[in-house]
Amino acid sequence: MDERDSGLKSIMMDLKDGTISASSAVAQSTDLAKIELMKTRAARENLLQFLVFQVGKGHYGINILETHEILKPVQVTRIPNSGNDILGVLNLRGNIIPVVDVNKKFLGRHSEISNFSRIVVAAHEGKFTGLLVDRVVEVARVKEDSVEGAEVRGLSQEYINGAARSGERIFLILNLEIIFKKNINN
Amino acid sequence: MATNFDHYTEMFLDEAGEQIEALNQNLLILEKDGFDQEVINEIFRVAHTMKSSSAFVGLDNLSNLSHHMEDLLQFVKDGKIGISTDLVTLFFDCLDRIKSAVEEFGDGNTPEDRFEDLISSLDQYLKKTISKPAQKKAAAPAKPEAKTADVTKSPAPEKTEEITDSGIIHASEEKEEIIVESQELVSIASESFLTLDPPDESLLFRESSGKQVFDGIVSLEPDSPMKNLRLLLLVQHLKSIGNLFRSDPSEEDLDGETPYNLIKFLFIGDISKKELEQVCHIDMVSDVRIEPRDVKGGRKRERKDETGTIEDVKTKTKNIKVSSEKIDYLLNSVGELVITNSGLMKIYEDLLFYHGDSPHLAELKSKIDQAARIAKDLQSGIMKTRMIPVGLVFQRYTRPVRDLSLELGKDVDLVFQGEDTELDKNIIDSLNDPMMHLLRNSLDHGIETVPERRGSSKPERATLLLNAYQSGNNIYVEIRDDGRGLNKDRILKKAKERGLVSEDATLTDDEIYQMIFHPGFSTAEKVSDLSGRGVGMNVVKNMVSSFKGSVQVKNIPGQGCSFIMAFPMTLAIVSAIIVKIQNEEYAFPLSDVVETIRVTKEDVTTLQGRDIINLRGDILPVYNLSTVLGLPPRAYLDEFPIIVANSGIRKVGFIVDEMIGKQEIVIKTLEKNFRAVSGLVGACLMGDGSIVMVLDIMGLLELSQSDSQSSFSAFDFSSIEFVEKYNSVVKSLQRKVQEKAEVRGGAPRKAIDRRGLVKKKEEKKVPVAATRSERAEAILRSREEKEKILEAEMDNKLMEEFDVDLAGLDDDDFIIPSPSNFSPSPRKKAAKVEEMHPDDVSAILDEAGISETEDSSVGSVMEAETTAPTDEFHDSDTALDQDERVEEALKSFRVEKEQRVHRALDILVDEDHSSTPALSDEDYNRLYAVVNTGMMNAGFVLSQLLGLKVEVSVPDFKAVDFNELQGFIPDEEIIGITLETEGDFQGLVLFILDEATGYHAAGDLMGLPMDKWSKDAIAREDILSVLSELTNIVGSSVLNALANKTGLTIYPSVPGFIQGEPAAIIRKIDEIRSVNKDLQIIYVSTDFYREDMQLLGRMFLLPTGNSLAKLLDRL
Repeated sequence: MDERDSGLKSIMMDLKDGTISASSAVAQSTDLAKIELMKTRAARENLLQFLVFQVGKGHYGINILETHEILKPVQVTRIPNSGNDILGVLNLRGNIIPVVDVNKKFLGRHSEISNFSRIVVAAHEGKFTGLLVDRVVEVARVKEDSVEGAEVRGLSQEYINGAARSGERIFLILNLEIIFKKNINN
Repeated sequence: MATNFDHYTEMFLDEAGEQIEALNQNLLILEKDGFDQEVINEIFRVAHTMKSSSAFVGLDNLSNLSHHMEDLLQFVKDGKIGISTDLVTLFFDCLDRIKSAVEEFGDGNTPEDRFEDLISSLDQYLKKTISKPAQKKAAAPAKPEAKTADVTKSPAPEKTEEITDSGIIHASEEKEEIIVESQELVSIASESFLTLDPPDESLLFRESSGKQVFDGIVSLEPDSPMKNLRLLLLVQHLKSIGNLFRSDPSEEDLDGETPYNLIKFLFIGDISKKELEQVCHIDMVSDVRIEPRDVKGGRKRERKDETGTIEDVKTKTKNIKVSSEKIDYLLNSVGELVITNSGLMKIYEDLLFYHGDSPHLAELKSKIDQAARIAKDLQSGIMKTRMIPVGLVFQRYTRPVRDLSLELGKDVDLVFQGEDTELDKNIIDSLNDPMMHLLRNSLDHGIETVPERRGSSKPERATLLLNAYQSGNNIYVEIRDDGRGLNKDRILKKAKERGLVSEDATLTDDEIYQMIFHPGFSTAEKVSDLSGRGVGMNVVKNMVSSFKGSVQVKNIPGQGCSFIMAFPMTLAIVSAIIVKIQNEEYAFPLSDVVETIRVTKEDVTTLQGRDIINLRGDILPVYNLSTVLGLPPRAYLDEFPIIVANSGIRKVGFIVDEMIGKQEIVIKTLEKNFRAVSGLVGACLMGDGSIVMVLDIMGLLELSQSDSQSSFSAFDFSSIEFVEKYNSVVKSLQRKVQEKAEVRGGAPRKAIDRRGLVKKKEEKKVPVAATRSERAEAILRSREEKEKILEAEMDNKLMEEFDVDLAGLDDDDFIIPSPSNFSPSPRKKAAKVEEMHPDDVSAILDEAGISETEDSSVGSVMEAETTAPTDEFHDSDTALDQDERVEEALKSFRVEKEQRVHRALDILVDEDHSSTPALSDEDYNRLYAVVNTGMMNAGFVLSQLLGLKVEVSVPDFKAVDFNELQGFIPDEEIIGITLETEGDFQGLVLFILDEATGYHAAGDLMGLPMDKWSKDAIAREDILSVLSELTNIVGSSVLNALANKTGLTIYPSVPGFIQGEPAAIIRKIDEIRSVNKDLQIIYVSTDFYREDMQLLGRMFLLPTGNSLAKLLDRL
């Protein structure tokens, strides 16, 4: 919960400083609270929880435990000579975090920015990466044994760990490790 | 790494590092200079500490080895074993193995090394040497022998035999073959001194009262008769010459039946260690160990000179060990502080631009300046804590250079220079490998063998110089040898073979020498395990570059070569030049920039396919920065700036579109969350939170030279366009939200500010009437309250949602209920909007600048914000609601308020000063700002002069008629100081204090005790000079501020001093200068705060003629 507390604190500071509006402060802090809640619940109930988002027409999920926070699109700075699928870096409370354009990475074309566009900040082994996605859909709770292996479906195999179903919706589980590794080693 | 260890492990590793270093040093000295008691004691101490500390962290093998080393050292220490190369080499072997074991341990592993071979070598050495005592003298070099002569510890010749005999026995106590003999015997070398409980320790401290305290152990020959009696005699003797604080066994014990072989004691007395040792050497004593004891803490180190030891202990306590991580953290935070401050400065400038100058802004400015200064101080202070003398690194190479030169059969003298030069710890830590490489290179390739040197008539002994010095903003570390130097032709040949340069390329000498830093370049014919693999030089370069440093090569063929590494003095915060290229901003570290120039398109010519310009007769290769950074290629502009940067040996130019300015930045690595990117050192945060990439000159050069096949040719420019598009979309989304927010809360807040600003003046003269404005004010208040309620609601909502979520999740529902389900009542409107336009939600929301779930069944987890903003935006003309009415009222209130202010000022001016230039609201504010700035400056000057914090503030400030002057002067004895002004502003500065305050101030400034702050105690000359000086400072500060702001020339003259009745002073002023009595004068009330003291003074500006009008005009 420490992480959330510090997150909350910094949001409150931002609010006080007037750098963010009250409404977005509420939104940000609820996000944080919810994510933390999901994490604790997932741990308690032996269910896997995935943050499901949409990129193009496809749905993808990352483990809620690897989700740090979700941002509305913010200004980024391009990193020269660093690949087409890296949108740039953003400043998250003093941390410099790369943002991957998931559309470009998976589908080879740039995202369309809309009101639903979000940057999902994923955390993996102490590092952060932002994923620019078209829309955040839901948090899916899936029984561990109902997750299918990676051999399913032929889409960008190396980035996919498997697939799972949430109601009618089937989503692919992202292999964050590979994404992070590629970011680090190019 | 540190997090994996407990506190003790970390401490052990810390200590072990130092000890290994110390051991290394001392062994080298030992080898060089032979026997030196002090050095051997030091080595012994290290082994001893190592024994116990390694056992403490569970490294029993290491402890065991140290124990055996200690045994052997004991004999060396006692002069029973001479120093020889074999011995030193044996200890060096031990050292190496200890080092690797400690390193292994440091990596988190448990070292497996049992050191069995070393232990047996140690034992054998001990046995071999000791069993042939006759050879001892032969083994010891002549020099050491001479030195031992003056050491009293060295035993008398006839005693040698005896002591040595017993020595063998107790040193080999653990060996089975002599176990029978050693049964009764106790080795005192491994015996610990008496330990005391804390209460006893403090008792000892009291009793010793400054006298020397000694720990002692005395052991008897195992076969000596009447042991207890002998010990008792010793005890008696000790008691007679001093204070025997404690002994074990005690006197009573010795009276008993049990025989004791040894006695431990604590002795307080005014004698030296030597004398005490002599006292203890009674008949049949086998061994004596005496050490001075530090009564407050641990035992003192054994040294030749005891006073030295005390000083040593004292200086040690001044230093504290802090982990470099903590300092890095501090430094980083300070860096942020500096950046934040520049952000504040920007806000100030914006405010100044939008609202004009005002007293509040001036105050803000001075506080920002103050904060900046403090941050700077803090920064340089922390920076200094990170600096370490470079000598520490130099010392490390003594050993490898010794080993290597022996191996290569070269005779080398390693010389240090400038060891005290300090370098950042991070650099020091990284310096090891590159230095090692350069040294190896030098020894391997540079320095010739002895016959070769003889052949070229050089001194046989080569010199290898390690030099460190500071020059300008750089610190240089130089490695220079007097060997054969680099072979230019061979390097060039090789470079051409490898295809690093084209066959017909013409290179300067420097460029040729820089070739050796190319990856994979090596001219060595054979690959040795030491050097010549051709990877090293590249590593050197990379390391140096990573600290924004450079490597220079200075070579004189046949006479030597020198590598000079240059590092910037500070790493954390650097100045940078911000440039703009095609809408992107980049930062050049200022340390890399030589100059900036402007050239025209025509100045650029092409030479051998390179774009160059003629820079004052030198050829300067220029690169288009936008191309290097992967931006779409573009034709040159007609005129453009060029950043001339230093790449280490040569200058290069980078063409940019625009130069934005200089700024302090903190470079953050991209590797924390991403990876190293060529051409960039990292990124930095600007005051407004945006990120700017920081360029790396070496990387840029590599990028630009790798030309066509480079990585960015595959780059499609659509990505760049996309980022641009993305940012502009995001910006427009954000702007919309912001505008809405401003409509909601920003404008009224501004009104409040203005109100606060003008309020002071209103209160003085203007009767507040206007009922309408009263009403508006009431509305405003209610509005403020409303905002407060809203804020509270916001907090509640936060909690509420959290709770509701909890409830929502308990239903086994994957979908988080849409926020509208649990919104408090005011949010209903948003839901309504949604209902009203079910098909066009996104269009409306787009207008509102926020997003919304498009399908209420798929409520996103993260979209809780949706209701809140929609609530605030009522663009839809659903009639004028309460808020808008308030808005309107406020607007009229603001207009009215402004009118009122003007009217008030008009009245003020009309009533009092019909004939003088009107001091408008604006004039007033500006003048106030300037005067205030001047006062602040005065405060700083006073602070610096006095070494105390003095602040000067202006609580009151007004324009008054000259006739009113007397009204502002207290009706008592006063002191006045006048300061005439010449130049464009002619007039008089008058500074008035009542007499008591005057003496108070003078006494205070003179640093007199408080009871001397009176007329009787301070001579007239003194108070005259002190207060004149004070007026000079304050008056000049204000006049300077005025002069700076207006561009007028104002000179203050010599201060004049007046003392007496107010009327007398007015008369004096008349005498000094005929002030136009119709004119307004400026009254400035001044408060001096000196820590807890406050002094009130009054200052007047008495302008003559049209000086004030001129001044106001220029403001």
